[in-house]
Amino acid sequence: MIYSKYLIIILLFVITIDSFSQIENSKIISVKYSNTQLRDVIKDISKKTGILFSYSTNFINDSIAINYKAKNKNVNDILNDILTSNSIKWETINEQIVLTKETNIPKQNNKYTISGFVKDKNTGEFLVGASVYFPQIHSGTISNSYGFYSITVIENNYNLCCSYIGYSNIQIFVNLKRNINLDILLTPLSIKLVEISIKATDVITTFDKNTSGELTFNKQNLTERPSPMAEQEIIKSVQTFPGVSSIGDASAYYFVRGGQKDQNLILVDDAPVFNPSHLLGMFSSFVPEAVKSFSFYKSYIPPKFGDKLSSVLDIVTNDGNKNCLSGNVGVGPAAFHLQLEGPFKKDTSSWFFSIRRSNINWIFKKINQNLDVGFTDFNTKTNFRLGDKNRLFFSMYIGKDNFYQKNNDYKYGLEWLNFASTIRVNHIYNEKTFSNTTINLSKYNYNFYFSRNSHDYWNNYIQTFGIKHDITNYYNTNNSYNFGLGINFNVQNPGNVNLTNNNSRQIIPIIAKCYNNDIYLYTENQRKINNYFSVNFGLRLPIFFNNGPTTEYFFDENYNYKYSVDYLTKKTYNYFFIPEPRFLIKYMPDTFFNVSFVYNKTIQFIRQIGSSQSPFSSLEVWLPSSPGLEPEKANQFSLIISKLFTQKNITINIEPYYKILHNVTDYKEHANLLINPLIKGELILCGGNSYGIETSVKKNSDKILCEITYAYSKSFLQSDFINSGKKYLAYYDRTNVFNVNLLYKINNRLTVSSNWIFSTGTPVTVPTGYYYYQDNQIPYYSEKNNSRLPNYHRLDFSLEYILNKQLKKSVHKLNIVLYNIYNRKNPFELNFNKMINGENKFVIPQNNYDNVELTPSYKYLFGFIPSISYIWQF
Amino acid sequence: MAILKIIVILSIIIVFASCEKKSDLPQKSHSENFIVVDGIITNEMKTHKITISKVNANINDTISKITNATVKIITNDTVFLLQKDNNNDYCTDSTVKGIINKNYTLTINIDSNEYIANDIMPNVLPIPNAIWQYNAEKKLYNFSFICSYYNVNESAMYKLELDWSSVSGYINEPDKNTHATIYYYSLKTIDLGELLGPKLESVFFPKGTYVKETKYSLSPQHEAYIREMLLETQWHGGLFDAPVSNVSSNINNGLGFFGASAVLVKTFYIF
Repeated sequence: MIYSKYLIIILLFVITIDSFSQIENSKIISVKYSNTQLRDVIKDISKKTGILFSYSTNFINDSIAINYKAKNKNVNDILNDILTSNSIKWETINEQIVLTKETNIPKQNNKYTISGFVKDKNTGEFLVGASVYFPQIHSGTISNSYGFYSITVIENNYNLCCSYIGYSNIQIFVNLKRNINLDILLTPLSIKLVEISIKATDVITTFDKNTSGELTFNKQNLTERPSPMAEQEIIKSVQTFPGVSSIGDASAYYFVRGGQKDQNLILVDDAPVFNPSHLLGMFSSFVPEAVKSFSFYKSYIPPKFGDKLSSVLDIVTNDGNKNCLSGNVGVGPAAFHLQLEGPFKKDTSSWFFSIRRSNINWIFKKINQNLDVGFTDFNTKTNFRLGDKNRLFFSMYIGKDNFYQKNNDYKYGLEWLNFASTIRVNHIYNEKTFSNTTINLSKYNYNFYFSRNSHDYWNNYIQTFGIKHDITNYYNTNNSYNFGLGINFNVQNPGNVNLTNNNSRQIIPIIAKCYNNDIYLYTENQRKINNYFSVNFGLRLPIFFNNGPTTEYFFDENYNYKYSVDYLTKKTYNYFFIPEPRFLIKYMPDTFFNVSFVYNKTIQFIRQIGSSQSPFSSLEVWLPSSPGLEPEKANQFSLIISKLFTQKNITINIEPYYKILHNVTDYKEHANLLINPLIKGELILCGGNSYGIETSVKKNSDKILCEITYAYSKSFLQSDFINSGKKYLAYYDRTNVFNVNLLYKINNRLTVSSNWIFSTGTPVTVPTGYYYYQDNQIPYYSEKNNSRLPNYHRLDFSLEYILNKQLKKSVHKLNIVLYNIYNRKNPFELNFNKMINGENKFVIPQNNYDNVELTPSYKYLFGFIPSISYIWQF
Repeated sequence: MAILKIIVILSIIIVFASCEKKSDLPQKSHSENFIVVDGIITNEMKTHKITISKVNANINDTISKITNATVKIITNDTVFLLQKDNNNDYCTDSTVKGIINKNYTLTINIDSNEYIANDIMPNVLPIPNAIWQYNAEKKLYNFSFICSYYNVNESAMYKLELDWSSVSGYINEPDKNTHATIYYYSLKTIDLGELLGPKLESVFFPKGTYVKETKYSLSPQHEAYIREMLLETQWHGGLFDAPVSNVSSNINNGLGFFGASAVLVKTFYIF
């Protein structure tokens, strides 16, 4: 008797049953399988029913994953559901159920949809940007901001693959003969206690997304770059992206492709954040542990995003662990944080909160008991599943900064507050159509206490309330549509003084508040034309309205004040309507090489006003476009060339771009921007252009991640009223920016990384002569931005060590960061007006009796900073 | 634990103490042909002085005065011809006295080029009382209040001339160690560099110092000039600097300012 080594007769659990002589296949049982292999499913059913199964692994793949649940259901029906949908036929032969392969021929014209959510198996978190695809037909999609995916293909048997960086890949055998709702659960790779294998599919996942100019990261990516004071920072990471530059150390500002610092939209769970800085810019507002993922757009900006010219940073916070209580605690030299999350009802609803508080105030109190310096972040989110088709989210962020001296009689210094909150409802209309409705409220409020005798303060704020509805229709694998509409109600206070002595109010100018709203529609089609070409084309239609009550000031073409008009009622007195087309065409000669051409038109109606070129957040205000203050406009053309060498896991990107700017803001010489009702007359609207080429090479392997980026760029502005009408370099121009990032996983517990950054020095205006007036030496300038500060560069190093010797749910980590290892003094400011006093300090001369010798000086902020932090995850 | 505390303190101090060092950036020099005018006509009956100089190519070069100019101050009914003195400044005679609300025009002729500036003399309000405080470490005094830096009712310049050469312990000291001249300003505008500006030199003086305080009224254009000058000098170099640019002048094709100011003078001793 010859037995095929592949013929397996399964006699399962005979001893557990009381020798059923008949097939009890009418029995009622309950089952629940989640990514369970078929062989285990069969074992389980056999155990519950006593039925014997027989099949050959030559023909039946018994390792396919089964996701199925049924309660009190006839076993016949259960077998039909599980087996038939996987193209397995079953029949009763000789008191056994024999399984054979289904051989039906699919009808070519039937199409069905598989849809659902991609989730973290442990926590139930929805995973944003996971790849869900059918490799055999080179077709797939990416899970959206809420983890939803939908693919429509021809009826057939498929292996459905799902991958996401930091998670084990999964393959699910799918017999697509009807519409299927399938939630995919991915298992996170154990956090560094097992060898992490960077799979080709991880690299492919990232490659597919990045070829449209969208960069998406999850929180694991943040650990790849060291940050100052061991506080991992989203904004600091963004500042190292190709095409993005910063002013230098301790700045939360960034500039994208020649755009100004206020031209970047930052969203947290769909709510805008207006000032993402703490401690003047040293830290950013976003606690990395609270962030699930973030996406950055600078080339093709989807038309659902608007009102900023240059880029979008879209941050999604954690939903909360839907399965069990978890959290982490961290302590560093600058701040400590606590994060907790857990389910209200397992697998249905969850909550999350995170709080971060600086711990440096005690140092300032040693200098002066009245000092109060610090910051706080608070994030919270809850979500509830309302049936199979609806989910409700509530999220809120509050960030507060104090930087003042106070007692009972006065408060002197700065404080500001960011508030952003959303209520969102996801609704699944059908397996192809997903929608999201958002109500959001954001406010940024800034107080400057300027008196040492009272609590008088200068205040500015911007506030927005919005409602929007977004719909995505996954028509088929080659065609999807996005469309939506929204309305925002905005208020800006461009800076007013609040006095404790009300009588004094009469002598301080009052700056009229601004009321405005914008309504927009957008539509977008993502279409695969054939195997070589795909296009995204979209159109955003915003209308911006200026409303009363307010006072408008009108100026002539030379920015001289002419007259003002009081609009006393809440009616609209002005509007702007400027369509924004967005377009991307991609040519893909093969899967791992493609070339995209992108055109974006973007409009910005509300601009930030502040002539300071400091790295630090200061007294900026917001001003809407209005009669005589046209909206800012940008037209950007870019080419994205991407190549993935799969054998070596090397990705190369080259992106040249050209951008034309209109009506961007610069200022009159010595512009008067504080408590000035005629502030509009201090603004000069400029034209500009920027161009450059961004390149990056990224190599992933099991233990090493290496990324090298280089960008060459130029940014110019021009106005007849500045620099004698000649074109001049923008102050944020950085001709060459070079970045090398290395990460090496030495072993399961130890990872080291380093980052070297180089950028051309900031353009500055230096005097070409000096003259005397009242014994003061006053500089004379013949040209704007005629020189540069020394080049900026520094080297950082970080080490992460896991204290646990064995894998546990509770993980203890130490993070050591050496920031600016070779102590480079990178200047951010150049002065020609200071002297060195008797204490060897640079001061402004006050005594004009005798000739004063001035000494040109640089200001710099950071030298070498060592820091250590501890994190406990449970 | 103590070591950790030290690391934390050092890290924080390193971070927050923004530092300054001498710049080695090569200077850019360019020959400029502008003239620079520095002078005020006041309502005092005295010699009024106008200094006319050139733009220096380098920082800390000594002032280079122009000596071949013909200088006049003209009102609607009078012309004052200024004469060059031993210091190469141009001066009126000692009987000249400006009148409030009158317009004054300065004309300068150099090598067939004519330069003109105008200003109107506004009225001046009383001088507020100065306040000074004792510094225990230095055992000297410094001013804590001269004027409000922001005043919607008037703009003014205050010049304080200090002399402690007669105070015991300073009698034989050189002049530069026993004299000081300090300017304060009160303007109708407010600027970030003024509020959150750089560290100023502290001027200390002993008890018994003689102070002559002169208050000058400023016309709107004179105030604008002073504000721009301060933005380029005293208020520049803090943490929130605006871009630098040239200070506007009321002299055509020139730099500096010719002003007309009403003046009040007060003298007192530090006690």
